[in-house]
Amino acid sequence: MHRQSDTRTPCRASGLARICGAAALLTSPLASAGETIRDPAQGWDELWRAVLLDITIIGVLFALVTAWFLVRYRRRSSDEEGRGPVLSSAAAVGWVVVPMFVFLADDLYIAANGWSLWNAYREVPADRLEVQLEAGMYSWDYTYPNGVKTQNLLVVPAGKAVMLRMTSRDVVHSHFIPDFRVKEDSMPGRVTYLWFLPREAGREHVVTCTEYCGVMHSYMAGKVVVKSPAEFEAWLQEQERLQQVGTHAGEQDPRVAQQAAAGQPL
Amino acid sequence: MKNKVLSAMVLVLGLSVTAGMADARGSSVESGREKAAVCMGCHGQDGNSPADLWPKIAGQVPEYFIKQLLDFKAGRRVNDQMAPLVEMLSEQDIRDLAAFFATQRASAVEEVADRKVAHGERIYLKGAGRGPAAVTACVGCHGQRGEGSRNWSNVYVTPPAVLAPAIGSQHPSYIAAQLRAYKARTRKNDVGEVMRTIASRMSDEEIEAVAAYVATLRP
Repeated sequence: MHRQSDTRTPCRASGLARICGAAALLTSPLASAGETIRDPAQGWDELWRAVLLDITIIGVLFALVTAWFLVRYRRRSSDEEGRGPVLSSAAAVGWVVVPMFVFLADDLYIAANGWSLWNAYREVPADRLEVQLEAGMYSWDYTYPNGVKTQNLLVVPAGKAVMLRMTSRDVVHSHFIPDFRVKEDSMPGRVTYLWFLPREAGREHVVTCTEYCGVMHSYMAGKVVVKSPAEFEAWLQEQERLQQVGTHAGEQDPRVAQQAAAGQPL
Repeated sequence: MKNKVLSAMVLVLGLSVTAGMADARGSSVESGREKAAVCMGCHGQDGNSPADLWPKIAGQVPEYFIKQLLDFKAGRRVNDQMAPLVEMLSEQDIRDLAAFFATQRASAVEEVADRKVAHGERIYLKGAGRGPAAVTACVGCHGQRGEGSRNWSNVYVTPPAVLAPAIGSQHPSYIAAQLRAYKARTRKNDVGEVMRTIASRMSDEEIEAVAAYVATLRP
């Protein structure tokens, strides 16, 4: 039920423990309030670079071998007849099995890193700010725990994990914050979530919709504004006063509120 | 073929001209205040019209304001009262007026039909209907306080072609009249037919309800 116990390594029990151990290095920890947040954001970048490096090396290698074959086995006269190579059984099996395992091992290594990062991502830090999001044509509407509402503007404190519980009032949208490497669909009749770790106060990050949702899809954008914890608190209090929260209570999506009350990340 | 290419070119040219015209840069609030004398007769000292025959224009999104006046001028939006008045204005005048009225704030509507507000709130915040006849929730573009939207949290350097006017605290009868005009297609200067499509799916009751709720919003 409680998935946010942070000491548990998601892949401890798996046979890929060593690979997972390597992947755990990809998540960059940030200590806060007694728990270590394993933020997968940087890990995705490193994984992406590993994949790029990998496919580049493999691509270049294969191209070179192919080019060499083209030259080496070219037809030298117009009536030349080709003949198949003569390989021993052991050589034939070896040429199939050895390269297969070399590339498979490489693929699995990268895939295991991906799974491990994904598992780290599924473990939402217990010490977090939860904000509810209702997506719709064509806005992102956020509701803070104290009832403050914002539109297309998500103000967050630096150094604290921020989790969005998301739903949609009309069609499928997708909340993408490129800088934090998180993207998740928001859907009518379903509650999804995402979380990220803003680190630096004073920064702004673009939010954009990445699921075609209607004529103005390309204008459906917003901002994440990171403030220092003190500034964030001051901002939240000020908004609470300005918006006279309490007079507009009871507008939250009941399913979202229910899940939030139960403390479920899913 | 040649004709098609030509009409496409004219279309592209036309679009770029209209896009360029709804530009609020190079405007002056002070000269706008002076030039606004002619508007005040109907729209009030500060853009808050005393009678609901005429809309409040206080706090209007400047790009939207400019587009409407240019549309009156070009006949894209038809209104016998506005057309001759706008005829006298230069594009600079229009930009200045837009800048001035954008600095004002819409006054609260005093009498709202309470029994319609809850229904209107539901439509405004959640939309209505399902499938191809669905009415999109107004809040997505017109904002949580009906303040309108011109550039979605300043993410865009230039405002998009589709602008959402400020409608909070507007006279309910004016909002209802515009929605009916869109529905009847007597008003057709909305980019991409966005409002004509939405209004065509609304019943008279829904139009009245939304107009009542919008009047309660304070941008």
